[in-house]
Amino acid sequence: MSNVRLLSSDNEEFVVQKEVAERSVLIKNMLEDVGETDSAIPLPNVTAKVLKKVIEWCDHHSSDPVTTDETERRTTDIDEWDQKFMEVDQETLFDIILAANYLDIKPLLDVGCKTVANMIKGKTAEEIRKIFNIVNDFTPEEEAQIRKENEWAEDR
Amino acid sequence: MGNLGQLPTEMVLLIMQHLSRWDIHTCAHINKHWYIATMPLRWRSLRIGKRIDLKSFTAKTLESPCNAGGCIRHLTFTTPLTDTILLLLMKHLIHLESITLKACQDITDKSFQHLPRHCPNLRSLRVASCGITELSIIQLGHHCRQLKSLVLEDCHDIAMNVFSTLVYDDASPSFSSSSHHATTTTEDVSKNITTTTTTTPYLIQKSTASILALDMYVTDGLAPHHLDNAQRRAATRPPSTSVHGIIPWPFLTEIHLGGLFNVGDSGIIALIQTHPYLQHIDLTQTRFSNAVLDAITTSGCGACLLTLQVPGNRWITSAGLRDLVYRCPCLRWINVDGCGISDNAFPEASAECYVDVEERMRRSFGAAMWVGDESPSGITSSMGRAPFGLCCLDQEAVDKIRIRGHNRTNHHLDFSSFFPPM
Repeated sequence: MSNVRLLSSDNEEFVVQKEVAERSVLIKNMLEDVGETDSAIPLPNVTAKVLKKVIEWCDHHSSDPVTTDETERRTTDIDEWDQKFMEVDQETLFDIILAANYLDIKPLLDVGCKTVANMIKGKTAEEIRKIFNIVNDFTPEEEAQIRKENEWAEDR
Repeated sequence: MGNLGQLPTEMVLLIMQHLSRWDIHTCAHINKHWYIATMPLRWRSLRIGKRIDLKSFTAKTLESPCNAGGCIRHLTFTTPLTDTILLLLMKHLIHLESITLKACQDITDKSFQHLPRHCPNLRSLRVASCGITELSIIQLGHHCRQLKSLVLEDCHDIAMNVFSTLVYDDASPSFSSSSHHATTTTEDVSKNITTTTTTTPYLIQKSTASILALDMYVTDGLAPHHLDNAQRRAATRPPSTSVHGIIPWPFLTEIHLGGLFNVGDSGIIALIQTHPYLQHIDLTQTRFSNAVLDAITTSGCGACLLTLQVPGNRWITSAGLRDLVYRCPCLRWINVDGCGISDNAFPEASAECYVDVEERMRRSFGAAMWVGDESPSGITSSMGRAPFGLCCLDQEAVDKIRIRGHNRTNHHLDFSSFFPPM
């Protein structure tokens, strides 16, 4: 099995099995375009810390079949290993989601989004703001407006 | 570094995929970024009338800094709307896919004819008691090339022209029924008047060829003087001979025509013969005889017909229905509520003949097969009456009749000839 070298934005090099790296559609396409190469693939949008996590995930899931099943994607169930894997601080979670999007790793992006969705589920806006440390930038008038608009949802 | 509050919009939408409508609305409260990011989901499908009042909806759509109107895909108005408001709104509804206008008597061509130009993605239109004429329908066909479904309830101004379009495949000057509307239309319409008055059916059929489902209901039936013309023409010329070589709406698979009780056999036979792909035929409260059932079996659509609904038609008989079942191999649902057919007309399938149409129907199909979100008007209206005799035959009943019929017609065959004596 041949190896691939990946270069993070902070110039740390990772040597990964080709099969593992190809979980990323971006890298897979790059390798197909470039062919056999010895030079490292630069990933300017991903830091070493995040890339390490992403590689860990790809390694564990390297033998997963590629599923495109929409119904499976809809549920918020996450398997146990992934749940453990996602127990990280919010900044890292945010970066993993962005990296998964950039590297085009659909299943990882899904797991990330599901994790965030589970954190939001059933909470009030104030609770969500607290969890994610988000500043409320609405004026009281605007908030009243939105509350009114949200009553629309109850129509159906 | 990043914070979830600033997550890019596309990823916010991915997260929302896993959340309920309630959670999505809560998320709109988080901050301005999430408010805008969740807009496409919150505004996707709106029903204006009960909880959303027209005034605040209009204000929001017109003043929204983040193109709220462009997020709307499905829109229903259950409250009276005026031309002025529709004209104001339509410029913002650029991605609209379906629109329903209920009880909008005040809507006329003046505003409606411009809607298709602003909403080219429109796939489904449902209007009830609307003042629009075929002019709007022609505009619709011209701009909305993906239009698949058209529901016209009690739109007397259009009904006749649409019907004659269905039945006659040429542009006939004798169908100039739109001439008296010409005077009421606006300036930019009048440019088209000269062509539309004489060739309306032709224009309708040409411009809206993509339609697959049509649902038309007129409570009082069609005006008699239109019908005279229609029947005379049906009698003199077989519908298959076409002047323009065009079959109107050739790909129609679903048709609901309600209340055309004075159309008669010839009109409906012509309609059936020109539409070989019909799978669902609903002729609620329409008078016709067994000749129409016979036309179904002999024309192209007999092979693919799935459902037939003829409630309130007392001119068909159980013999005609039985023959239809034998000859339409895919047929799986017949609604004959109020047709005066006896309970024991089909002894071979008596257990599967039902009195409660609505319940059986829901069990057989769910609601999915209908255009829009409601069952056809004919079904719901026929529920109120006390059922006399047989109501409907479901798939099991139809299968049983078909199998028994098959056995009966074949049992005289001498199978001994297949097995030579040992």
